[in-house]
Amino acid sequence: MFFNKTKLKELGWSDDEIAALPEKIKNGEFTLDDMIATAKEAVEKGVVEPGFGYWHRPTKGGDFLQYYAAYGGRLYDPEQDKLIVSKGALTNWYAFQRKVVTEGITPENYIGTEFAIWHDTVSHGNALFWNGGVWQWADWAENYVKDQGGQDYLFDFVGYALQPSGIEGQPGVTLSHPLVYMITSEQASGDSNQDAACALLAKTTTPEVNTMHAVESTHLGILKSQSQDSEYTSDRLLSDTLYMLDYNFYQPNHPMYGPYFDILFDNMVKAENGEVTPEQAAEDAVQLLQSEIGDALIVED
Amino acid sequence: MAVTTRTATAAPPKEGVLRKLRSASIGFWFMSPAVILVVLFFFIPSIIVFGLSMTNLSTSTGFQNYDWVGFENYHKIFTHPDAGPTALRTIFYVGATLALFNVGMALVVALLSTHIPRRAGFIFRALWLLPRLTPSVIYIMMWKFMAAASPYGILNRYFPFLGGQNLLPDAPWVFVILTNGFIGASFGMILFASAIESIPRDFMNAALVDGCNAWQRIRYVILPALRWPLLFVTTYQTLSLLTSFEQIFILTDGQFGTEVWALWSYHRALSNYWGNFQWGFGAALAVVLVVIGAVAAVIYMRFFQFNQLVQEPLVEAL
Repeated sequence: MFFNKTKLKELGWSDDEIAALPEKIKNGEFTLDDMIATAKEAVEKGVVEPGFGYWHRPTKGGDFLQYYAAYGGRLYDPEQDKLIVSKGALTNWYAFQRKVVTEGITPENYIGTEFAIWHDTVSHGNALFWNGGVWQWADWAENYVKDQGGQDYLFDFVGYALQPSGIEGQPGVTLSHPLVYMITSEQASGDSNQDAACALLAKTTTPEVNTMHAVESTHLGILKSQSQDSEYTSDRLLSDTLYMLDYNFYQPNHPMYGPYFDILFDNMVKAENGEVTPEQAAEDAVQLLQSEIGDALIVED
Repeated sequence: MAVTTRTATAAPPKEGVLRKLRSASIGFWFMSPAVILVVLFFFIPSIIVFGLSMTNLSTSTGFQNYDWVGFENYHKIFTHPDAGPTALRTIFYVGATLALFNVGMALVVALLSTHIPRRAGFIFRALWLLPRLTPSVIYIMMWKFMAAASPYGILNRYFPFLGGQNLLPDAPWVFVILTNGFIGASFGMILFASAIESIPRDFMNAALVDGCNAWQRIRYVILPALRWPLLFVTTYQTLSLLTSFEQIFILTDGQFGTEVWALWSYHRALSNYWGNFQWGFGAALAVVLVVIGAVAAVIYMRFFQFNQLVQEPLVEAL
């Protein structure tokens, strides 16, 4: 979660309070409800325009699951190799997405906003809270605020923290999305150079090469040894956000995960737009999941 | 044009049969390129897709672990909670776009552009072709920025009474029908315009002399002459709209209640961020569309009395 330090100060927060916010989110002392209240206050006091209090991701993406996890939602049971849907957490997540609209901190027709518009708005400091990823930092610095001073301009007013939890006392969360290198088998490809491919991957999966990529595009490293690399540690954003890797989760590698996520997201949009109530959206989602995924699904409360 | 006289009684029966076979085979040879294309690119793929729909082929089964599941995919479709709403949405989309634009607007533009000076008519018809010529991504991006929230969105910027918010989630069908309609209208417009222009001038003059006003002339002279183009455009555009989803895909990706049947099939079979392509299920969805399309075509042909239109002229049967 990114937040606008300048606007928090205008709202009346002291420098210490602003500096302590990431820690409070990490410990579960600043929850999603606190975030809504703060953003609402900012709108009421005119610190931000109505609808600019909280700008989540504007299009479909795994990021939204952070709020499902924030309410205790579980995705996957590795022992049974089955997907899980936690009904209570699902309903709370959908209710949160609707609440940000009804409280006036997010516009109602927000989903579907062009990403270019989103980047332009948040990188110029027009929103109070927004959800994004570390990799967007370099994108903003290079493509949106280069003339204003790039990364320095961003460091001046942007703060960053985990996603607040929905439950008081539960630590904040973040989603990581690692990708896997795959080498086609001999049976599938007809080639027998699997060892050479593996060796090539080993040669490119070094701390030096991956740190170069990480620093230039502000992505997280992939090797633990990178955290000792001097270039990595001297990058302010990457070293500041390193602690978040202790609080992250991944989306499961299950063959039916695609339909699972599609259903969760589609019903989230319906709840957020007010097409159906959050409770109804959660019911519909579970019903669809059972029909689509059947035996590979565990439904829990 | 040479006129062949036939004295049927004089020629021996064998020659008559040979001649008939030869004239029939000439027709067959002329048709063969089209027949080959249709068989290769429609009939054979239809059979393959039908076969696919009887399996549970997907990325999780791969090409080696799939099973033949008979009609299970169809059972899944007809018990799926989304099936009914998606079918209704598709009918609404096809019907509205067809009536308002692909046939309706096409007719209006054709009629108007043939009743003004010819050059002006050409220019307007050329302008109407622009949506069809523009690459669909650029075209839809234009529409997206028309509908966007202010200050980025054009409509919201110049018409503040619209509310200032992103218009697309509020009125998704308006934009879906408009984007598809502006493209679709040009097809009918060209066919209708050329049909109108090829109505013999004598008929038009006779109508004027008889004291017809413009509306009566349209109703009694022009529309009857458009019966064949109308059949063609309606049938073709119905099938085209039934299977089209490209613009909807780029515009809303089926969100806000705009997922039509063809898009549903595409999403299942070919488009999943996590790579689970359900080819068998998607194929079943596609087969349903093929069946509906074929039925619709047959109904249209009956309704427009296709047989009558392609009947051999009665003159030669003297």
